Amino acid sequence: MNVGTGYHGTGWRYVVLCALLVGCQTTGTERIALAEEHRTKAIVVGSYREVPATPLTLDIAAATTVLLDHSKLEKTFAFDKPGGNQEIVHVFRLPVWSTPYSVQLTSYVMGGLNDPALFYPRLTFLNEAFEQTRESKQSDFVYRGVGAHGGISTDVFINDSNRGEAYIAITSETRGAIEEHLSVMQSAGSMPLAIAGKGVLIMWMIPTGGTELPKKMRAAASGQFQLKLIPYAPKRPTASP
Amino acid sequence: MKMMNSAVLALMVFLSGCAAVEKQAFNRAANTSIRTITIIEPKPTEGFGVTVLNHPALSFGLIGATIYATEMTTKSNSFDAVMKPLGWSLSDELITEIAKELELAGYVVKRLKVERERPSIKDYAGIKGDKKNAEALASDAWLDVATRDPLYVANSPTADYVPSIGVTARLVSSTDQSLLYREDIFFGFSFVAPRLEAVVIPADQEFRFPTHTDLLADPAKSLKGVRMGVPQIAKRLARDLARDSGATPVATSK
Repeated sequence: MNVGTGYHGTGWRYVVLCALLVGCQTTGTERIALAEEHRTKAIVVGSYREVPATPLTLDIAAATTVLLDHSKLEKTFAFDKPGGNQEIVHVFRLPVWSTPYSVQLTSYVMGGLNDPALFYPRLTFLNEAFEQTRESKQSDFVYRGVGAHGGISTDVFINDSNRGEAYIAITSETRGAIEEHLSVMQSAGSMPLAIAGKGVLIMWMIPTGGTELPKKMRAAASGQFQLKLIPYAPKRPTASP
Repeated sequence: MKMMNSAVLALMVFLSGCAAVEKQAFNRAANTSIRTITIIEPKPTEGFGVTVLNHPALSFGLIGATIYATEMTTKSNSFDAVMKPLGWSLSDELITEIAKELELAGYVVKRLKVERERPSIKDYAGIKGDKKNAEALASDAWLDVATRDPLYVANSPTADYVPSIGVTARLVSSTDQSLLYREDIFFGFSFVAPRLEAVVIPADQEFRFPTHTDLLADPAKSLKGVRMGVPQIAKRLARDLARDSGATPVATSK
């Protein structure tokens, strides 16, 4: 399976993140249409066990990050849902438990600030036998000023009492249960101003700010998200708040 | 000029100062022994400010920056002058609301006022070593809350003025001051601060003001626009620190 974006270094992470989030000039409406295409073309499976699991690693000294864009995958898998709807599913294999850590899932806004779309994910934890142990609710996610256009994220800890959890599955939140968040970020940029003098042309870049109003981030069946495994080792604060 | 300085300082603290942000989600299961929390109160807020971002004057060197600083000072001072008579303090109301929400979440809450030279505390040794703080600090964890003067922020000279509150909360263990939780929350205007990855709570659209004159016209309404953020921030913090939530265990299997 081509996960495509499983880099584990900070520098690469930002490069890939920029490419994922800024380089995409499609609108939210186009992303929703594309997501519907992914959904209908996905390979339908009957259980989590049938989905090839992407292995995750935990670095006890730093966070490990995996970025995933459904549109970049060679194959996607889906469950059949009532009404002929397919629900895209992606399964990750968790590292063997040795220390408490958190799984942070962030889903990024697609399509820009004027027509934002978002994959509203649900995070399901599974044991070795692929039985569900825990799952997230949409209310566990908060809106954050992340990436180019914001996104929603949640953190779930895997403590000693959860050491039997072996997989996590990411699916879309059930359609009827989605309450669309507001995107409240505003754009900033610059425009060139040219002033002609005696034989010279002086260029200034004048800052500009957008006036985007808060907009509902419409639900897309697939999207762009980041999974981060963060070791839990509280230490004394070194920086000011 | 004082208002301008505080607004600029606040922005520096919340935007530029994010080079070493330590994010930490609260691990409930690992901290079930925490029952009493002492809130270390923030530096008292002093008034209201106005900021216009992406201002063209800023691209014209020192002269442009001087023009910008003068305009912001004038705008902040005139706004503060109409808001002051309302007698409202963000820091007081914020701490009252946070204490209320934490109590509702099942914690015993204490409060401690401390002298802060800057909004943030770099080292807790001074507070811990002061004997008069001993009783208030006798708890399981300390919630250090930092905030700055409430603002109305416009994204450009032609954009609407939007309410803005910025809060940073840090929960540290009372035994060794290890960091148990750290979150940054913006209410209203969403500053571009990618490394802060702040939670952003939208303000009601009713409280967007097209011009500075509109902002000054009805101080009670302008206050309401900012004030609405306080209980929402307090609820967010209490929810993050709640003793009984997180991913929900399920009985079903697939």
